[in-house]
Amino acid sequence: MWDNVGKSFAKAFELMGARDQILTEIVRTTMNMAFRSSIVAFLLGVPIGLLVAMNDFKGKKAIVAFMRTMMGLPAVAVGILVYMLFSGTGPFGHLKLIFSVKLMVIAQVILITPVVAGMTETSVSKSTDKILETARGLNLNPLKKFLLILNESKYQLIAIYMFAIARSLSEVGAVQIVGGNILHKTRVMTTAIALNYNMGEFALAVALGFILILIVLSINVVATLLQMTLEKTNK
Amino acid sequence: MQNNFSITAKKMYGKRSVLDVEKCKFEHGKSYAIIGANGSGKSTLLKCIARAIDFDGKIEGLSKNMVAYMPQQSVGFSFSVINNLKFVYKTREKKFKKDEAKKILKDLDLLHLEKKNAAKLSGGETQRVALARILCADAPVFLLDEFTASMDIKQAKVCQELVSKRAKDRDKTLIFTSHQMSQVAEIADYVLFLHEGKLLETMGVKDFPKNVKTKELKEFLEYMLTKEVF
Repeated sequence: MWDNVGKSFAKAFELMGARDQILTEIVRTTMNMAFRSSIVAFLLGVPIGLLVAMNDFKGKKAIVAFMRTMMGLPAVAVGILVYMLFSGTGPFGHLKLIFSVKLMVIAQVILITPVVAGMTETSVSKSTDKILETARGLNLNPLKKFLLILNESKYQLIAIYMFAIARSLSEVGAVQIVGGNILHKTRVMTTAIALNYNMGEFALAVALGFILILIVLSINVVATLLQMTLEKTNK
Repeated sequence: MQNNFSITAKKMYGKRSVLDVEKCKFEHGKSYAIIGANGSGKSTLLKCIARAIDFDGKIEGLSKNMVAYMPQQSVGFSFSVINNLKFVYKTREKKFKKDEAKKILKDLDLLHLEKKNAAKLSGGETQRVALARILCADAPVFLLDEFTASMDIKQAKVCQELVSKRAKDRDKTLIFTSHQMSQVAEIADYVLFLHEGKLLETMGVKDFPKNVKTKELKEFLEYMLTKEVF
């Protein structure tokens, strides 16, 4: 077993060193999809999470419970639903998005937005009460209160974005169904790993897995450096 | 401009009444101390005046933008101390007066912390930053909820003198809650005693604490004396 792991490591470095054209293409498609879906999900999910955390209203507990349930949406189910909506016979079939990166982004946004909203609400709600009371005392308007809470939550939000992009990079069920894993078009790291596993190319599959982990690690390092810089400037 | 105002407020939490005051009047330019045991409704009354919470009733003669309210558990916003003050000028749509802000920081012994992140200060320092923000807001009515509770005796003394002087010099109405009877005696013009959400007694500070009328206030003051808080 350890022999295979060693071979996989060697294969991973060999692929990266050789600047394999197909691998480069797959990595580029993966990053393109992951950044777009995570950014859109973040921009949608954070305001939803903050608004729920900041406001008291009738039915809030039910909304929070719903948001938390949606965090567990099964990727395959989302993939099938999006496929049905956008396939040739579906209501949005005329948009001709099936088996495209755009549709993979849409499926991931549906999947990741509730996670971002739920995590934002959970991580921010504890601290918002005191901040909001202080803000009310200074007579801030709703927009300024929102921006203030956004600023006060910036460290949590960086961590939430990291989770969103990691979720996007590692997701396979939905993108496989709506993207179709088409070489030179919609093949991404995770679908390539699944394909190689199905073909019995375990070493190549694990090697791609290592490369994926390295990508996630690099993004994490950048985010940590950003957090540290922010903390330094805020001392 | 004279800003006399009155409040009639009823506040329930579930089936429990926490505040029930009828036409409680406040005179422009005067200083009011609200006293009472924990849970008597002091903080709730301040929150109602600040319109920081919903309540049944009305406030006559005071609009929302005429108050600056400092909650008991104020926070420092996570930017520098000086920018916390700048933020207040911006929100009040006033030009930032750096010299005035620095003078307030100096008076509150915060000048050496002006570039520090206000979210990372100690409890006493955070409370002084919150007080500095209120002073910069320069609203006609200051509402301060136990504004020296996290400070040591020396700092508390400096802060109460500063607040009192600023209120008198600038003709502000000052309404504060306190458990320190010496503070009440030193800076209040009037004392309001709340008991179980009701306003039981209002008196001029000259009559306080000798000429109290109600049994409840007598008992409250005796308790404070035995606890050596007075």
